[in-house]
Amino acid sequence: MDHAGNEHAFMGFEPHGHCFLWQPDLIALHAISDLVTGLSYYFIPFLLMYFVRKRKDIPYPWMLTLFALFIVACGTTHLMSVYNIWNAEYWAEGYVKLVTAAASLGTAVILVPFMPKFLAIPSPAQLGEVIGKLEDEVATRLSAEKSLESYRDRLEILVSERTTQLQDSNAQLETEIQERKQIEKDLRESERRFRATFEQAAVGLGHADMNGRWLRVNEKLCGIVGYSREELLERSFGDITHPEDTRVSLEHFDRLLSGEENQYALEKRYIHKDGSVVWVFLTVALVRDENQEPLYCIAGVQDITARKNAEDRLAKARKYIANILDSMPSVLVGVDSEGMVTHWNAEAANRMGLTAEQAEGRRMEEVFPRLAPHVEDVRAAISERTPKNTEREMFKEADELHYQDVMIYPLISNGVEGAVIRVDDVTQRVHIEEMMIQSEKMLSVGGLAAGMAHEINNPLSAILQSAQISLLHLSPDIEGNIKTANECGCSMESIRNYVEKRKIIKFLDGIRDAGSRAARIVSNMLDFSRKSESKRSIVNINETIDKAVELALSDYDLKKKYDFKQVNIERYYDSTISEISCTRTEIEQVILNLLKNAAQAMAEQKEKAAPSTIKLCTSMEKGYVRIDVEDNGPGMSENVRKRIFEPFYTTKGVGEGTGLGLSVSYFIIVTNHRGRIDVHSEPGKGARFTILLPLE
Amino acid sequence: MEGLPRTLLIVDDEELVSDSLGSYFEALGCIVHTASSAEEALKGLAEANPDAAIVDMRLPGMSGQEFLLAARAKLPALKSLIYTGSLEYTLPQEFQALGMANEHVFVKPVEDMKILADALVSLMTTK
Repeated sequence: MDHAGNEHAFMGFEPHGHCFLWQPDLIALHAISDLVTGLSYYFIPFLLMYFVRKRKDIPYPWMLTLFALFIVACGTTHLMSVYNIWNAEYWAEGYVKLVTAAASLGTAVILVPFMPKFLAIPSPAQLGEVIGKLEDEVATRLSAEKSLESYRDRLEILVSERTTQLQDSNAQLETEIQERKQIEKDLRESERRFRATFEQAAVGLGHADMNGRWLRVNEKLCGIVGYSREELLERSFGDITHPEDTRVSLEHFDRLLSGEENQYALEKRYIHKDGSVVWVFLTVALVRDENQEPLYCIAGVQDITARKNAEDRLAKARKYIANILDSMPSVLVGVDSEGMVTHWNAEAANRMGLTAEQAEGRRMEEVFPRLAPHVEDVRAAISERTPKNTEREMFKEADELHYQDVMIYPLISNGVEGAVIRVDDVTQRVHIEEMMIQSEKMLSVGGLAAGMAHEINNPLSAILQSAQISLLHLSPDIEGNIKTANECGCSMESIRNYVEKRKIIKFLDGIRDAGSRAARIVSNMLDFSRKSESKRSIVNINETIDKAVELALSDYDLKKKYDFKQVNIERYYDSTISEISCTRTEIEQVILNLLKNAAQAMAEQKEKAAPSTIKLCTSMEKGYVRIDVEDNGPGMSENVRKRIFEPFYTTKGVGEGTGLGLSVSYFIIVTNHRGRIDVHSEPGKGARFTILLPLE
Repeated sequence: MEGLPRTLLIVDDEELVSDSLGSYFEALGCIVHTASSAEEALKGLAEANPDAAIVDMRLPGMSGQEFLLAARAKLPALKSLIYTGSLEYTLPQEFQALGMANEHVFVKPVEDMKILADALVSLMTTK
């Protein structure tokens, strides 16, 4: 210190002790007091710091720090006063005082606003009160703790119970977890199974969105239409549908969307990738979400091409068989064992005016009255398994007599009970057969006549010539006769007288007439055996008929027995008629014969409703020239009509007709000219002969 | 009757036929020879020397056709008519070569023998 004092002294100031005049007592008093004050001041901040550390609840701890700084500064001031007794560092002491002043001022200034807060800090008395209360509270707490303890005991029991429960539920959870795991496993298994089902199903399966685009397809579906999975997923089912089936598919799809249908099934066609047609049986179902909004469709696709082709073939075969049955000119009626119609072919429909739909399912005799007599036959045919035939059964249709053949064939294939009835209208055939029989008859007559002709003609010749000579020898104006009469002693006059009185002339004339008629019969008969002569020429039938009319007008027999001039001849000629090749004289003969018959028949008619008229018509008819010779005479009965072309069949009085006229006409037309001749007549309604001559 | 042959031969196995024909033509002024067979007719042919003949075709023994051919060989100027009971009869080639035609064929019976007489007249007037 001495040393320092020396330094200050050097700068001009004197140590403060100098002021004390170095009096040791005074210096000691100041020095000790300031030192103790300073050290005490230094000690206080430590205590404060300790307090703050220990009591964290002290409000505003930074205030105590500030206070500590202020006390340290005050302490330093005091220590500086002690130092400067022996030294003269007054500037330093001044700075320390400045710091102290600042800290003091700061503390003072800051303390002012905090005053109310400090005042709010409870006083120790208040605290005592609080402590008292707290003690009460503690007592209360203690009792509460006691009851708490008893609670705790019970709680422990509860906890142990709860623990057990928890352990149980833990175990349960464990089980549940196991179960979950199992379910998950099952789910995965199920998913795997469904996938396998979808993928490996034998039918094509696919899911499609509402635009028909495929979302998922299985292998089989790809196989059916020939596309790879990738290709198919780029397409909609509209893309692979046959154009002709698009419309009906869309209609179904629309109904599905509108909710009209839940699902639909149809047979339709897809187009295979290679362009071929694939027939499929398609089932489509719509899957909706919980709000009924459509999600996707499930389509099941079955390839039925083979079945469809088989069906097609079957349908074709069925159609073919039906076609065969319908092409038959016969009526074919199928019936079951009850006699109900099961089949009705086109000819049956045509004949009866009922369609197959109208006839099927009804009684046979109801839809085909002509079969009424055969109900029993049908039953017998089925039970005996033998066919039943009825030939040439007569029936009336539109007042005309017809014939039918009815054949009943039992169905003998396994499991089918019934019969097929075949009905043929054989009227035409019966007529043809009748004509053939007639033709046969005439041919045999012709053959017979040819053999007989020579044998008969010779004696006829002897008869006729003898009669002629006899008559000649009885003639009074022949010289030889007169001469011979004279030689016999009588005159020719007396002989003549005698033979006339004894009717010898009349008998001889009779022999000649009868002989001539016999000769004509033989001659007519021989016409049958004569082959068609090659005297054919191109002939206009109209002219030929006119010629025949001319012949009729000059015919001796006609003039004698019937007055042909009294008959009206009406001609209805087709002037455009084709000329035909025929034997003119033969056709003339036929027409003349018809005219004679007509005239004769009309002459015999006692009461006439109208003047006797013969209508002559010509026309063209399907490859034929047609000639009609129609009279308004008495007509003829069915029996006569049927036999009219028979040789030797005559309705005329004995000796009036040969019974060969119409037979010869028939022979000329049918055999020689390959034509047809027919007659339509009823009693009282005249007769119409129709001749058809082929144009060739 | 003018133009008839002077001498006529009739060959027919039916006696009534030949006799009635004979009587008829005799009455018309002809000299008539009748024969009932071809052989008989041939035998008397030279003696009779007919201008014309009416011959049946179907005869016992030699046929009418053979007779006519033989007769024409002997009497080339002989005119002839065929009078047959057969309607089938057709004129053979040989006769056509001799100048015969269908108009010279008559089928028995004729209703009036004048038909034969007319035919003979026309036959005699043609060369």
